[in-house]
Amino acid sequence: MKNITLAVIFLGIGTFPITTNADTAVPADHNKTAVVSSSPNNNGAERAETQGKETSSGLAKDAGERGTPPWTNDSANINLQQPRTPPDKNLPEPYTAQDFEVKPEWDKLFADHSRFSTESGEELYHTMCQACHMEDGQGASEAGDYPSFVGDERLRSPFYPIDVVLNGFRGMPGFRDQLSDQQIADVVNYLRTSFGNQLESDVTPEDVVRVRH
Amino acid sequence: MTTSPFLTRRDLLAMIGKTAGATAMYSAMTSMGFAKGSTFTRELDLSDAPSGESILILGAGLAGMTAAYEMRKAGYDVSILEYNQRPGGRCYTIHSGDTVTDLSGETQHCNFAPGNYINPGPWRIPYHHYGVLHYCKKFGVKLEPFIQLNYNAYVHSSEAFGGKPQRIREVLTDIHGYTSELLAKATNQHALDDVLTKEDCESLLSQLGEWGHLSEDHKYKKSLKASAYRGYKDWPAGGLMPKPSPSEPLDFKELLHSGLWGMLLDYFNTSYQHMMFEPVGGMEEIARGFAGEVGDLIEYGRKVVRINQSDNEVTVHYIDPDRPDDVMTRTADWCICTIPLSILSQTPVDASPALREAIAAVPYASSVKTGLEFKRRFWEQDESIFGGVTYTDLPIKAISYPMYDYFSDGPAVLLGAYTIDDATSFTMSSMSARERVALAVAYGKQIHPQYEDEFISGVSWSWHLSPWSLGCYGLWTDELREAHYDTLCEIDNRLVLAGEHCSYIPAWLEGAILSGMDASKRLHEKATAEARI
Repeated sequence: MKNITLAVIFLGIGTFPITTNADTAVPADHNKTAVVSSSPNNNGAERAETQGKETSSGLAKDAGERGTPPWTNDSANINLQQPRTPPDKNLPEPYTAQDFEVKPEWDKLFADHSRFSTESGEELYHTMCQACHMEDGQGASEAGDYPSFVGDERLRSPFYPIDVVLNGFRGMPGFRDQLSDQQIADVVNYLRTSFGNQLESDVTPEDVVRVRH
Repeated sequence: MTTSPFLTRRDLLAMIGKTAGATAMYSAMTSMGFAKGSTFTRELDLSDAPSGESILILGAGLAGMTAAYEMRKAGYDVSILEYNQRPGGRCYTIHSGDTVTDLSGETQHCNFAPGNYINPGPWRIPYHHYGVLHYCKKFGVKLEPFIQLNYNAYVHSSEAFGGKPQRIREVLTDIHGYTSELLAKATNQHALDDVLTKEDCESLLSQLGEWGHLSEDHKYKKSLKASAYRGYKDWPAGGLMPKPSPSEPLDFKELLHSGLWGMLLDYFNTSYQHMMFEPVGGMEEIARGFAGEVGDLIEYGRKVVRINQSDNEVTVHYIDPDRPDDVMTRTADWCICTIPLSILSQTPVDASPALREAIAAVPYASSVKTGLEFKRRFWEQDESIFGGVTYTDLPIKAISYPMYDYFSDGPAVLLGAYTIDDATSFTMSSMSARERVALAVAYGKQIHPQYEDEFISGVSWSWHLSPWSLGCYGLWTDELREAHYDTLCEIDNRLVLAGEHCSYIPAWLEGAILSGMDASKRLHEKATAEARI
């Protein structure tokens, strides 16, 4: 059981040491449920409650003495605290000169801003669908959901995914103007044969034409 | 145009083809209503709320906080449920020291120097967004000029002029010059005689000469006259320094086919005409201004899971996302729901079938922004670019220079990539934030070779990976508006929707604020009318 101390800077009011327990930190496999400001100490009021009475009174009661900025009242101020870490902490792995070279595949991917330029279903998935449905096809869940394709019964009829890719569904935009019939057939075939789906890869551009009107 | 022997049809089509890439987005934006002005006329002055009536607002973005402010002023008992741990929603700034995690699970620590930031969403306010400006003034949010058009910034084509970026002043002056020359030539060859009198022609020629900086014989060529607009080879100086000497105009045919002409349009759309403003310290200062007024009404960390309503009240079911099994409820007389449709379309709502259909009808746009911090302001120090926006045909689309702390030493942050609603944006969203930062440097250094040596760190935000909005803004089309817009905005029994998606100014703060005002006004009318019965 190792304790770590985070210094949280409160809008220039000063530093505020928080002790938390490393063993209770968010496990790696829960990271998809982390929200913006994902640190466990992102709500001053709740944290104060859990940190004991001294802290609580320090945070919640003497806002005036702490120089609460004029743009806020105390209640709002508590919830405006962002989890600030010193800028030199948590440095990411440095980039190398090679990272800053234009990759040959980028030139291909970005050849046309208005249409997707890749050909195989797999490439299309990972340069288009992946933006929401994730690399592993599992989707995501937070304030709302992006559906998972893993073992997805809705792929059984090819016409359902064709229709969704062409015309969109709820918050998802349609891609009818950005993909050819062949590309849509390819990406639907990829969905039907990936992420644990073992359906036939027999969708054709003609199938897409039947739905595109 | 068929009467003009100078611009061949082929030239014209080539020009349109080259510029379509840059302008297609803007014509699309216009059709979505981006270019329309605000209808804000004056502050709402609602009063005499029916005694004891309550309003529950869902979402503490600008629409929700506008409604909360106005409805509390009118006398209602107002409360707000908010998913995030901060007010503002998409009126958002990533500051030095912030930690952000997106839907893919990737966490970024913003290591910018203290005071530096990036606005991942809204970042500029037109002078005619009267609602935003009104509340900023009222709530003491300090604004500074946002520089959209800096004549010394660039437009850049990776194909034309050896891939060298061109100063906006040079391109703009040359386009005025060459088009004036061609029109003068057509006039002199009597090609316009069927529409212009002799006096008209003389007046036109005289003004073309001035506008295009033409020579006596109506030619656009290297001259001190043109250099006063496009810039000199040797700029006027003092003493025995070199005498002023003119700069060489760009080659017309290369300019015509470069796509740079179309890029200039972005500076002249009413959405981006000067004056524009930005809040000092980042867009989120506006959210803080509102929260200073209504922050005491907001409960944070609340995820709405169901909205029920009867003839008498609204019941909202919600959870603390950390304790999903513990469903709580809140009732109120009325509800203003500002939850983005990308999320509300997945939430059970007691409403008419038509409203539920409208909620499910609007797709959400993709957009990505990448902020880059450099060791020094080389764009100012080496290239005399103080604020403004450079446009390019590279996948990064734009570079926008900081419009604050000019001339300062030390690290500074610029916007290194900004994509919106196209294939490029989706493809960029499919990359990790780390790769997007590398990409912004890799392409951006074609415009600013200093990038590689001066780079410190970057932060990139994809709106489709935003855990609390699942997209950037409501992507309306004319057809969708015809079918669903009015229904979406109408009061459904005791529930009314608000937000940028309930406006003709999608993606802009003004749309959210006007929608919040309009929903408040109509709900107040209904509530007071019913109370009289």
